[in-house]
This record gives sequence, C-alpha cells and structure tokens, in this order.
Amino acid sequence: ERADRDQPVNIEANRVTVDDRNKVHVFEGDVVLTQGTLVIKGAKLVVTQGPDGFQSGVATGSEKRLATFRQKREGSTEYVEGEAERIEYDSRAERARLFNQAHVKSGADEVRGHYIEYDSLSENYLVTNQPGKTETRAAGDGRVRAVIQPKNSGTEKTH
Amino acid sequence: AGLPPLVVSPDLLGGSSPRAPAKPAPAASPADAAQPAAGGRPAAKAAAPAPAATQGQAAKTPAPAPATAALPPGATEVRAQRIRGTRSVELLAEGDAELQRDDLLLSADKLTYRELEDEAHAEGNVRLRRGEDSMSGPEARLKLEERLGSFESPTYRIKRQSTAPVQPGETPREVAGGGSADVLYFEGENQYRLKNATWSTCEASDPDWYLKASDLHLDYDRELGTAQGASLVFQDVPMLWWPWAEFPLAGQRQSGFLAPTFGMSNKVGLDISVPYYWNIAPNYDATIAPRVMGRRGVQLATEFRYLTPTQAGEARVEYLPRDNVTGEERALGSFQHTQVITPSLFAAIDWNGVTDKEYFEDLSSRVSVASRANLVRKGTLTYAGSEWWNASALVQSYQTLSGGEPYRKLPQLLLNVNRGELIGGSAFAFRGEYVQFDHPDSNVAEGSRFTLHPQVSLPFERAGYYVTPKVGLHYTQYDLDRDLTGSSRSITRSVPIFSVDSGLFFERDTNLFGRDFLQTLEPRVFYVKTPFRDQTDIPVFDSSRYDFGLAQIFSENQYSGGDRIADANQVTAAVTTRLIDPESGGERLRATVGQRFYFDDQRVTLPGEEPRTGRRADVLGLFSGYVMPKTWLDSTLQYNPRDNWTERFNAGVRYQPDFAKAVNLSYRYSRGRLADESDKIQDLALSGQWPLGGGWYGVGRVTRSLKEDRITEAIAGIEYDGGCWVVRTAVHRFATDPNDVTQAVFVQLELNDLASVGTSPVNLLKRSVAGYGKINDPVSDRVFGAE
Amino acid sequence: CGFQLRGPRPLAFATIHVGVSAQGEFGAALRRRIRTSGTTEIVDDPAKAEVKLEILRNQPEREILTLTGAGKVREYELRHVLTFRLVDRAGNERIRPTTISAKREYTYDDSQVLAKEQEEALLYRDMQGDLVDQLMRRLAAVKP
Repeated sequence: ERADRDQPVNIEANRVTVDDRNKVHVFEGDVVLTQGTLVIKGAKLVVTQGPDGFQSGVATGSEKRLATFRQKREGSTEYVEGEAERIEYDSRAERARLFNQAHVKSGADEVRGHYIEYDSLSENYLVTNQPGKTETRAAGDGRVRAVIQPKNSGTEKTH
Repeated sequence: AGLPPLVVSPDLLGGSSPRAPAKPAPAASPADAAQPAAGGRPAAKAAAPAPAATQGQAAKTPAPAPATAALPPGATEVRAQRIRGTRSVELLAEGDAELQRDDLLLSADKLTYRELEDEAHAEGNVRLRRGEDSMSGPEARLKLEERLGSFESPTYRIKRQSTAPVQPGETPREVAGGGSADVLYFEGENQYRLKNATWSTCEASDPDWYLKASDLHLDYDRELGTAQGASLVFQDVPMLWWPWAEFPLAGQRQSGFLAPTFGMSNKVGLDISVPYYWNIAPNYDATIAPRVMGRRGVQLATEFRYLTPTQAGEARVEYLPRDNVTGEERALGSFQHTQVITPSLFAAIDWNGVTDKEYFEDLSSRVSVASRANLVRKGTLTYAGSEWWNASALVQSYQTLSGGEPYRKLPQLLLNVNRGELIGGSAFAFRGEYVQFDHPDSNVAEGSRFTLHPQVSLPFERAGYYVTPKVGLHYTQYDLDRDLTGSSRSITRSVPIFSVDSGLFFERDTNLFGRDFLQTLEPRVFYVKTPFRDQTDIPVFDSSRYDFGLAQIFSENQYSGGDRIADANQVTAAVTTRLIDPESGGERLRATVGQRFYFDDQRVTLPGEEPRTGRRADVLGLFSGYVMPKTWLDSTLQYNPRDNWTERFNAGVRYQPDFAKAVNLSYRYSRGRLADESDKIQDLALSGQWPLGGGWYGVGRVTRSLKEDRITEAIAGIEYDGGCWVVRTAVHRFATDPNDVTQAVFVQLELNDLASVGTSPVNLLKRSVAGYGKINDPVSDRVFGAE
Repeated sequence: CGFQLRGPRPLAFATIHVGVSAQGEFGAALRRRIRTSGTTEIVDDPAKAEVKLEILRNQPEREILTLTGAGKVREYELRHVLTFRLVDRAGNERIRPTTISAKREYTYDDSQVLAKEQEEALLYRDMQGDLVDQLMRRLAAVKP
C-alpha cells in the first residue's frame, strides 16, 4: 500500500550488527521488519541505506523456512504475499525481487518460479526460470507457473 | 522523499543482548551469534551460497506438484519459461508456454492471456487439446469460457461417442473426424465453423478420402455436419459434388443425401440410384431414391418407416412411369404394420403387390427378391389371453406371380389353449379353428372348415427321464360350396389320436481329443396310434406331406395343415448323443440316428400319392459339431432301407480360423419323388472369404448343379480395406429360368462412419457365404460365427 | 460304460428375471423349463432378481438354400440366432455375451405355400425347444 512508505520501519531480530561507514545493518535470527502493512520476515536481513538515504533490504531464509514478505494491495482488502530463499526489497521503487523457489500470491492469483520480480506500484510481475542456464526438466519441468482465479466469481464483486 | 530514518529499538543495539522481553526469547542458535557479520557484504555475494542450498532444499521439499490436478474449476494456470504480467489485467508467457483451464490445454511458443476479456492469444506451433479432441496450427485466439475465437489454418481431430442405441453389454462406438482448414471459428461449446475445410474419419494425416467444403459447420450437439459446396474426394479424385450436404459426425443416420449406389445388370443395364434419407423425427424417417436404369428408364422408390410405443411399420412404393423395354407403367407396393392395441391385443398387416408377374425378375437384381412367386397379403388380430391361451383372427390371400394360386383364407379364426399342471399333473391342450377357403378358379373346391382338437396328456417328467402319454380327438366339419365334383356338401371327420412320447437322459464325463466333455446319451421312443378315416372326398386346402426331418418324424400327423390326418400305428425311435463343454455348457458336437417302424400299411393319402407298404421308414442320421478346431461339420442322411438307396444326403464343412477367413464346402443331394427327376437336387457349393494380403480380401461362391451340369449361382468379389474405407465389388450370376440368367455387378465404396457409395452386396455376401465377416465392422459387433 | 441317469441340476441362483416376453412361445417354454429345473423362482421385477437374463439378439432368419432350374426356391434354411448374457445385481457378467443358434432345412414348393407355412411354424417351435435346451445347459453351468 502506498501509505506504507511514510510509516516508521520497525525491525526485530535476535542480533544486529551495524556498519555505520557503509550504513549497513545486519539483523539475524527470526528477523521481522514491519513498515505499515509491509512485513518482511527471514532468518537474516541486511538493510542498506542508499546514497540518497533510501533503504533496501535483503532477507534470506534458513534451512527450514523461506524468507517471506507480505503487504496490503493498494485500494483492496487483499494482501500480496511472497516467499523465496532470498528476497531483495527496494522500498524506493517498491519492487521486490525473489530468488529461488520464489512464490508470490496476490489475492487468489499466484505465480511461482525460479526468479520473480514484483512491482507493487504497477502490480507488474516478471517470473523467469534460472536466468541463462538451461534447466534440466526437473520434476516441475523447470518452468514457471502463474495461476489466475476466476474473477467473475461472486465474492470478488462485493468489496 | 526517502524512506524515513531507520528507527532501531534501543535494546537491540550493543551486540548480543537478548531480545526485548515481550517476545519469547527464541532459542538463539549460538552458531548464528558466532558468525560475526563483519562489515556489510554486498547483497549479491550473499546470494552465492544460497543456490547450493536451494538445490539441496529443492530435493527435500519437491518443487510444487504440477498444479493441473489440483486446479480448482474455472482457474487458469499458465506455465512457461518466462511470464510477465500485470495482475488481473494481462499476462504474457514465452517459451514452451502452456495455458490450462479445466480440461482445456492450450500450448504455444508465445501466449498472451487478457484476463478481462478472458481471451488467450497463442502464437507459434499452437496446440489446443480438450479430452481427445486436438487442433494444431500457427496461431489461435480463443475466449476460454464462451469458446469463441478462431484458429488459423488448423489441422483438427474431434472424437465423439456415437449416440446410436447400443446393445446392453456393448461399448458405444467412438467416431473421430478431422481434417484441415484455412480458418476454424469457435462458435460456442461444440460448435465449429470452418472455411475451405476438409473432414474425414481417416486417422492418417493425408487421408485416403475426405469431404472438402468451402463452408463446413460442425454441430457436435446435434452431431450433424453441414457442408456447402461439398465434394467427396477419394484418392485425390473428386467423386461427387453436392451444393449442400448434411452428414453424421458420430456415425448415426442423419437426414441428407446418402451416397449414390452403382450397379449393372443384364436386366436393367446401368443402375444408379441417389437416395435421400429424411430423418423426419426420432421415430419417423423416409428414404426417397430416384433410380436411373439404363435400359428401363427412371424409377422412384420411396420408403417410409415409423415407430411409436404402440405401433411400428414400414411402407415401400416403387413407381416406374414408363418401362422403356415393355412400354408399360410398372409399380410395387408393400406395407407392413404392427400395433399393440392393448397389452394383450396385437394387430398386424402385411400387404405386398406388384403391377405385373415379371416385375421382380425384370427389375430386381437380388435373388432373394427375384425368386418370389407368391406375395402375401395378410391381416391378423391376436389376443394373448394369458400365458396358457390365445386367440387370433386372420385374413390372408396372395398375389401369385408364377405357378398355381394358393387358397385364400377369408377369414381364419384360431383358439389355442395349453394348460399344464392340472389335476394329477395332467395337461390339457386345445386347438379350435374355423377357416373359410376361397379360390378364384371356379372348378376348384371351396368352402369352410371347422376343427376342434382337444388333447389331454399326463406328462411324467423327471431330470433323468420323461413319459408323456397323450389322448386327443381331432373333429373336423367341412361345409363345402364346391366339392371336388363341383357340388356343395358337408363332410365331417373325427379321429381319435393316441400317442406316447418317452425319453431317457444319460450322462457321463469323458475325455475325447484330449479335452474333457460331458457326453449325453438320449434315447427317445414315440408311439402314435391313429385309426384310419376315409378322407378321399376331402379337398386339399392346406395340407401336404412333411419332409422327413427330425422334428417332423416326431409329430403325430405326417401331413401339415388340417385336410389329412394320417392313419398311424407306428413307433419312431431315435438316439442322440452330445458332447458338452463342462465349463460353459456349450454344445460342441451332436449326433442323432432315428428311424420309424410301421405296424400297418399306409391308407390315408393325398391325391396322387403312392401309399407306403414297407414296415420300416427311412433312417435319419444327423451329425453336426466341431470335428476339428475351427472346423464345423454339418450333415444329414436319409436312407431308404426298402429300396436300398439314399433319399437325401447333405454335408457341409465350414473352416473358419479367424474373422473374415472362412471356407465352406457343401454337397446337397435329394433324390426327389417325381419320376421325371424334376425335383431331384444334386448341388455342390464352394464359398469362402479369405484375406489375400495387403488389405485385400477375396470373396466368392460357386453353386454347381451336378444334375443340370451347370453353374446355377456364382458370386465373385474383391474387397480392399483401406483402413478408414472399404471398396467392394462383386459379380453375381443366378439362374432365373432354365435358359435365362440374371447377372448383376455391385460396386460399393464404403467410407467408414460416413456413407456407403454403391449397391451394397453385403447382405448378398452374408447370405451366400456362411461365416462372411464384414471387414470394416467395428470390432465390438463382429459376429464370429456361432460358438 | 459309465453312463448314469442325469440327476436334477438346480440353477445356482434363487431368483432370475427373464428378459423375454411370456406371451411368446420361446418365453413361455423357457419359463416352464426354469420352473421345473428346481428351486429357481422367476421374478418380474428386474431389481429384485439375483440375476438378469438379457436377450441381446433374438433373430429368426430364413435363407434360400437351393434354387430350382427355373430360379424358384427349392430349399429354405431356417436359422434362429440368439445372443444373450447373464448379469447379476452387481452388474458383473456371470455369462459373457454368448451366441447360440439352431438350424433347420426344409424343401419348399410355391404351389403349397399354405402347407409349407405350417411346416415352417412346426420347425420354428422345434428350434425354440432346441434353443431352450442349450440355454438351460448354459445357465446350469454357472457356478454360484
């Protein structure tokens, strides 16, 4: 949601190490970043202050759990949720990039693939396979997927 | 404006202080803490080790199972190498792209799906699959839910189950039709319109035959194909052209032009008819067939059929305004009707008539029709009282085309009673009849006959044997308007008939030719005592001597009909043995020997019949069964011990190892009774169907009359099975009188599940070649000979 | 030589529905034989029957066997082909679709068409008796 940009960013973690020179904060251990409706969780979160003061965060999951992010969609009661082994969130462009086992669910629709780029402003997304490398036909035959639920179903129209 | 300054909760600063008490302190893994995050490593590098982890991880948690199975109804799943899109607006998938919705699967190099219009646009070797239907082509556009859109120069194949009624236990047939087109328009579920399209039931990509049409509409709801500017192309030769034609999509009959039939015969010359089948309603249909005959002119044949829950019938009219050979107007009329008036009252009408006696000989090239001498005209009313009695009224006459005219029954009333399990286990049977015989020829007897024939029997039946004594009284009264001498009189005849039928059933398990069988031994003895009654004055309306067959020698009277009750004091004995397959109960082989022994000379005769004097009647021997695997032998011998010669001997062997592979050889000899041997038969017949290899089948039959030393009937046919079509041609010669032969040629091209072109010799072949198998019969209903 | 008198052989099912009308001779003769074969009871309602005898094809046919020199019929062959199957309540086929048949030959003479009609009727009745025998042996061969 656009209003999130003006909300304070609150980060909880087990540990944090700060590198003021490069304006990098590294949070580790059940990291939870919340900013308005945006919530990013992961085993480790590296937050970098851009030259023009902007923040961008890289959350990575652990052996057991993938990193996740969740944000309310602009002007809708639905949420966008994403999970991947590594999520790079650029708050200025409001764009998330998810790497490996990436899965983004927006309302009932979802996309799944190796690499997902999701722009929450325009709600554009790009899902690709292992860039460049030719995937062997693994069980999921290496292709990315998008599932679109029927929109004309009754519930959708009420809100 | 940038991101507001990062607010870090104070308790976090300063290293490894435990988390704020509010959050339960997670078991902080010491390993994490030990890993000093020295300086800000650039994010990218952090990613490096990850893939290895993912691979490992991927192995553990399998990639998401292909969602096809779990896809909720109405949901759309897109799979591709790359997908770019805007949520709930549009999606572009590239690289081995596939779109799945319910049972529809669209695949292409590039797929664009516009969600608002629910339209998919596929480009680059597009394939659309739904169930077993499939279409492929360079480009397609389809509104998924409404099934509207177009497919550029597709090749398509659509398979449907035929809705033709099918016997219980049989699976309905599947008919697949397909072809190619410039463009195919989807016009809703099951509706397709194609431009410059071809349609064929052949599987091959370049079919041997196809229907080509400028505009083709396939309506799979009514399973009807409609073609404009349609032409039938067989082996790239355009054969027929219709401005407009309808054809069935699932094999069952539809209104429309049936394929024309071609034939040639020495009686009519070229013989072309173009039938139009009109499916008026589910239970009414008509076939109108103009028939062009080279030597005779143009004839119109129409056939109308109807079927309702209570009535069923068929009417056929053939009208030839002017026969070029005879100059006359010639016509045929035939009407059959059956009706259920009440659950136990049935009516039936069977009326046939032609304008002249040579009608069939001249105009019909089928022997079963050309050989008819009497055309029946009959009306019956039957009342089935219950399981044990019924009554009927009948009016019957004939149009006679050759030979003497039979009597007319105007009317015949019948009452039949057959009541078992009465007092003491007895059974009562009664046959009552009143019939008025009428004849156009004035110097032939005419009058009415009234018969009462009650019988009482005491059947003593057990599993192993039966004894059935029976006593009957046959009372008849004739009221003749004209007797044999032309004067009117009445004659009565009453004859008591006593008979005893008895039989034993023996069984044993045995092993013959290496297989286990249950063998039966069934002796039967039948005694009849009927006193003599002088019947020489009684005219013969409907009586003649029975053949000497097994069924006939075990009947009380030797004459059929009611005008002669043979005097009898005779015993008929026979013994039958059967080999029965214990598993299925099927009979593999049967042999019977029987003979009759007379204790008196024959006294009742038909006019001109020689009375018998000998004490022993002919010996009757029957043998039929599988003498060898796949080989069926059927033979009958009637030997006359008095004059020491054979009266009748028939033997037929059929070797049928497989479907459409059968050879029959039969020899028929009958001595005949007339001195001039005109009714003597001595025929040798060889018939068969055998694959000649490469899809070719040879069919043939030759019947040679050894007595007349000439071939009385010959059929030679060649069939070729082209996979989805069959071409059959057969030449048929049969004698229509001692020195005249009808020769007919049939040519038939049958396009599986579309239509057959040409006169169908199939019925002819089925009749004359025992074991003949129609080679393109769908496997499910191929009749592979009896057991 | 091993032959003994045939013993009673009751059918392996208590109730049967016969799929051919009782009015016709074939139906009546078949019902009589089933009733006298033992304890099996004929049920009119197919749902209540333990097994159903379905007649798939019941086709009397008459074909020309030989022709006289003048092209008229000299001998006819009567054929009666019967295809049936036995289905139990659960729908599985206790007897697969099976075809049995009977054949009779008789000489024909157009001038005695009325008499030959009656002989034809006699032969049909005899063939139906033959088919009933074959059918009963098949039913008796069904194992419980």
